[in-house]
Amino acid sequence: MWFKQNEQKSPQQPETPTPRPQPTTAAPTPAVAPTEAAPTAPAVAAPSASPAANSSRITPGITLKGEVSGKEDLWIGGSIDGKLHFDSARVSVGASGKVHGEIEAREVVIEGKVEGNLRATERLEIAASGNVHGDAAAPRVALQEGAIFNGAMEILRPGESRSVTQGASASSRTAAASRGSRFQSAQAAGASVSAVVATSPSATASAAAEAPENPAAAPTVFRHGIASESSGRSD
Amino acid sequence: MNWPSRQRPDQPSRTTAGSAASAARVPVSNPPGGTQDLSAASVRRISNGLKELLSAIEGADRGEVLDLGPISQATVDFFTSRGFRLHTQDLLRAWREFLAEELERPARASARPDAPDQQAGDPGLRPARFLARHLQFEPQKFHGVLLWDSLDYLDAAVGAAVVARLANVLRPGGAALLHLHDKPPERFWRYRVLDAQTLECVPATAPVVFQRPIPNREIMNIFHDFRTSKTFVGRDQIREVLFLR
Repeated sequence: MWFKQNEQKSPQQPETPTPRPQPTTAAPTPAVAPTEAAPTAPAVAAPSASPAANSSRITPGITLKGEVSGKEDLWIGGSIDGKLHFDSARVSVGASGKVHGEIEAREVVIEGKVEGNLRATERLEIAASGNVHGDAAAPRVALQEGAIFNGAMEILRPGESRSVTQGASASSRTAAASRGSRFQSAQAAGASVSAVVATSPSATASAAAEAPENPAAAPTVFRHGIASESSGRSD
Repeated sequence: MNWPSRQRPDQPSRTTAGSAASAARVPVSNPPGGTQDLSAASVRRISNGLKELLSAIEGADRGEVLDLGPISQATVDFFTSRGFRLHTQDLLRAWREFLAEELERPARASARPDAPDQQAGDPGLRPARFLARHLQFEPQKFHGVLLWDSLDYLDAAVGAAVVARLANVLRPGGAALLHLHDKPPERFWRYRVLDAQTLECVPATAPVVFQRPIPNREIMNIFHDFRTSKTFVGRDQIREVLFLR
């Protein structure tokens, strides 16, 4: 049931050093509460929620409110309050990531906290530091010892996996507008963000994301200048 | 009624003889956050209770099973491969978190004396407050419930309230599997279902402190909404009790 270990590079040794979040915030090594530790945990693949070089990122300190969809892999180190729709891509919630809303994707990897239903057309992984409150459905499921899951788990049969909504539009090319100096955004390729973006957890003002006119096709990067959150369990 | 099983007690089949032998010498479970020795290997035990539970619920089309332990890959694989939908809610973990909040309640109330928190902090209302946030399912939803080691780790009032809620969410004919101890257990186990009658017992730190062994008569009173029960006594001090709704 465990997927290939070499499917994702080791989080401690990324292939491409830039751009990526601060190591302290993106470190996918789960901070498992001692009370949940089990010494006989099966050997499992290393957590694979670390951001790949070509994935879009929502880094720690950024908060999005609204629906997010796209066709590229998405890594979440910040917070999202809304539905995520990535039918043909992977959505990874890093150890510092928090999602309040439904996630639909080809592949879903959870190291952080999710309150909402999960649906993966190919594979779902909940790492030891993952904390999910909601129902989950996927053809293949990988659960690490120590993961917290409150909800119903359903293994989809091939026909059922088509039930994931095919609604993500790749036409809208949106990235978060640069707000202040706290984060920068590159342009989107296939990512659609209809959201309100806050630059930090303590931000008092949130700004509506605006679609820039720049047609450059590059991965979306929501990058926070200063790592303000530590990795680890968020519950 | 409750009847002791005549069959041979369940005997853990040790995966590692040496470590399992040493496991028997591990001191009594420590309080939460303690330093209980978790170095022992997991052990396997034959579970007649699980076997009986499966015979009671199998045949249900797209049946629903509620696992009140932490989620485990093996258990998910087992039940989903048999067509069940598995719900997971870690009861003891939820209880631990709830208790932590309860202990903070007086401090919050003193900080805000005008807040309507004083009465809500009444320990007598804990079962209601706990169930207001947990085990919220529609009536008669489940075909089976796996309670594992839980009831004798809960406050008596909360345990009774939990069982009453389970009686409500279990379908008629549904089954609940419970593990009980005649004395404080030497260690706390988490359970994984390996096959229809085999459990893997994984040593773990107890989320909350063991409360007390519950006498049979009290168990029968708590489960008064259930039709029948079967008890399987193991040499490993674990009593498996299966209740049919």
